Amino acid sequence: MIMKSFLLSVLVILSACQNKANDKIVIGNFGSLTGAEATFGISTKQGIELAIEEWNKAGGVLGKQIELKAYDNQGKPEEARLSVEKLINVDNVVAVLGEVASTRSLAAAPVAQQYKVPMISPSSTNPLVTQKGDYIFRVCFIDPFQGEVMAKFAFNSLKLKKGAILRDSKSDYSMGLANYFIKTFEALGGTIVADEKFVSGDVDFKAQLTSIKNKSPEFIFVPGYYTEVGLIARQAREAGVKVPLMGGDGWDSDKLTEIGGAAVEGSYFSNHYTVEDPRPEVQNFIANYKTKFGTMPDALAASGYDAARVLLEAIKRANSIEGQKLRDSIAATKDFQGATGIITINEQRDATKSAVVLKVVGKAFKFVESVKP
Amino acid sequence: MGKINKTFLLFALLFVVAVCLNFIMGGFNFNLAALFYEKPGRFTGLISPYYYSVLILLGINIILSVSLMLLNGLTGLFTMGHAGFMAIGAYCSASVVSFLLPDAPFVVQLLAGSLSAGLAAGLVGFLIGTSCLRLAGDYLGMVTLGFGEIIRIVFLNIDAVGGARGMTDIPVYMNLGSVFLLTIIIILVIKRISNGRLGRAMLAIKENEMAANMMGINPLNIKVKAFVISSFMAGIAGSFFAHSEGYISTQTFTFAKSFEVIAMNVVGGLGSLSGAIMGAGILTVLPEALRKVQDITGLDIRMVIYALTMVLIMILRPQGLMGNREWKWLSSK
Repeated sequence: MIMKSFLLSVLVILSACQNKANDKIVIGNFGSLTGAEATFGISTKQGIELAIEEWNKAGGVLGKQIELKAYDNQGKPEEARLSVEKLINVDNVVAVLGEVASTRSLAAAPVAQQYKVPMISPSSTNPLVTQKGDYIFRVCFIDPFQGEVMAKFAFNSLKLKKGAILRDSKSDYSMGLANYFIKTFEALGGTIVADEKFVSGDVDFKAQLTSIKNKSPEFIFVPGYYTEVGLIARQAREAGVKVPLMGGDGWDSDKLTEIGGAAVEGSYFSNHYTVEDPRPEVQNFIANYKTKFGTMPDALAASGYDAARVLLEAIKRANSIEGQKLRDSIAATKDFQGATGIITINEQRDATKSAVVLKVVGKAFKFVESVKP
Repeated sequence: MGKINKTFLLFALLFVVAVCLNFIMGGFNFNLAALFYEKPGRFTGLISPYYYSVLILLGINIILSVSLMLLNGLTGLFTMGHAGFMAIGAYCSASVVSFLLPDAPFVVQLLAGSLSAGLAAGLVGFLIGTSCLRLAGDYLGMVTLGFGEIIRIVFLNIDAVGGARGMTDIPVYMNLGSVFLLTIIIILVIKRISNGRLGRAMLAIKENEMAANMMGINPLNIKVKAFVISSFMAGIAGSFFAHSEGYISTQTFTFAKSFEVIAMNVVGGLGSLSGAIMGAGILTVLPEALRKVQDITGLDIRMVIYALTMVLIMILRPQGLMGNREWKWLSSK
């Protein structure tokens, strides 16, 4: 008897607390809120929460308040897929925001595509993600884009005309960056005087550096990860190469100055976002985030914030939450002022947006400028 | 066990049952429950696609759990590399079907995918089995854990199957009906084995290897057989997984997956086929069912409840929910 009544009461409690049909606009988020990559998911979710809170304070969207449904996937692709199934089929979300890791975005994207619910990934950089269908978007740039950014920065801002490349022949990331760098730099009117290669794990780069030195370039573009870059910088200075080095977001680590020491001083690299960016969108975001969560936002939080705002802006412009209209509206996003840059969605549904260029000064990375695509 | 403990256990289990019931009832479109449990979804069929996916995953986990039961529970070989065999099955079947038979009819894909997956995993199981079955107890556990990780790292480094990015665009042909049917078949096969001559020999080896040897049983032979059958079935589970998800990546097949399968066995009761099925049921449905709790608390505490449930079960029923007993339809009598 006690058993039965207990069972009944639990059922009643559970059913009473189900989400009633409400007049809110529900947005879904799936991320790794627990597990080895929990910080990724939590940062992103906090960024999204902040954006929704700001919009709700300003009256919501289409006259309705916005509600966030966030599900944890423990960092597992199959759970990512399940949680998107639930968001779409049970919670009736108008759109899905997620994931950070490309593998989990790839697992979930076909579901969103199948039900024609727009999905915006805040920070999956693998080009394949948005190729899963025309309802899949992202608000970060894909890897090769940084090559373009640095080429423009070197040519337009530093006024350098002769460059050399030193790239990692085993890495898609490095090869892609270098290819796009060369293409853009030569189109602008610069020349590449040397194109040398190494393999990640190498420790001796003297042969390549000597060959580069003989061609006397004005800078060296090294799209690699911080370990090799640090060593390359040291050996370049020993070999008497004084010109600045440049690279991409693979440089972004405290280890860079630890390994490279004084040799990396004065070098430049591109990144997604910096807290030093003076634009009001960035500074307001940082101030609000600090008040709400008490910590400094990282790049993932900023990306989550931007993904949510791009979506809400699109709902407002479409004046509808219907899948097809919302999709078209997201695809039409142009010159959106985000915390991570000025976002325009291109026909591949990737964001073309400005990247920031940072300069190594002592142990810190100082903001130089943001480069438009 | 004290009276308070028993009441506590009762309440805890009732809670779990209530949550699971609530979850299952919400999945059907036609019944009264749908009126007040769920808003009308985007689905028009009998079962919501979300519940459909959970049920498919349940079938796959049951196959994994019962196949591990054959090794851990019945033969007493403590292995920790089950995710590795599942990975072989998943990648093998995905490659065979998407590279060789992308447009073949359903039955051909199903047969080719499952069989190739089972055979590949069984072969690797045979190799690992023959090479390390002289080890016993914890050592065997360590070695199989290592093998599981090696298998995962190998797939991580093969570019043809996507490497770290994972393999995409795998033909999705598994449906609930076929998963359900094949799960039942596999359960019955394991029941036959465990109640037959081979199963008795396995049990004898688990209880006392030397005595079994004296009775004319060749322990190595039986152990290798157990290893091959178990990995064959894990491979089939991997194949079902690949063709119901449509996407696989090595992130799924980490040792955490192996431990999850072990946990299913332990929660249900080591050595009980019914226990293995029950454990798989609880550990698959509970995390999904607990998502509803988030609506009430506003916080995601489902992993806390999930972990607490497991701790409670282990404290109050160390022998597992079923212990050594079986459900009637699975018992040998």
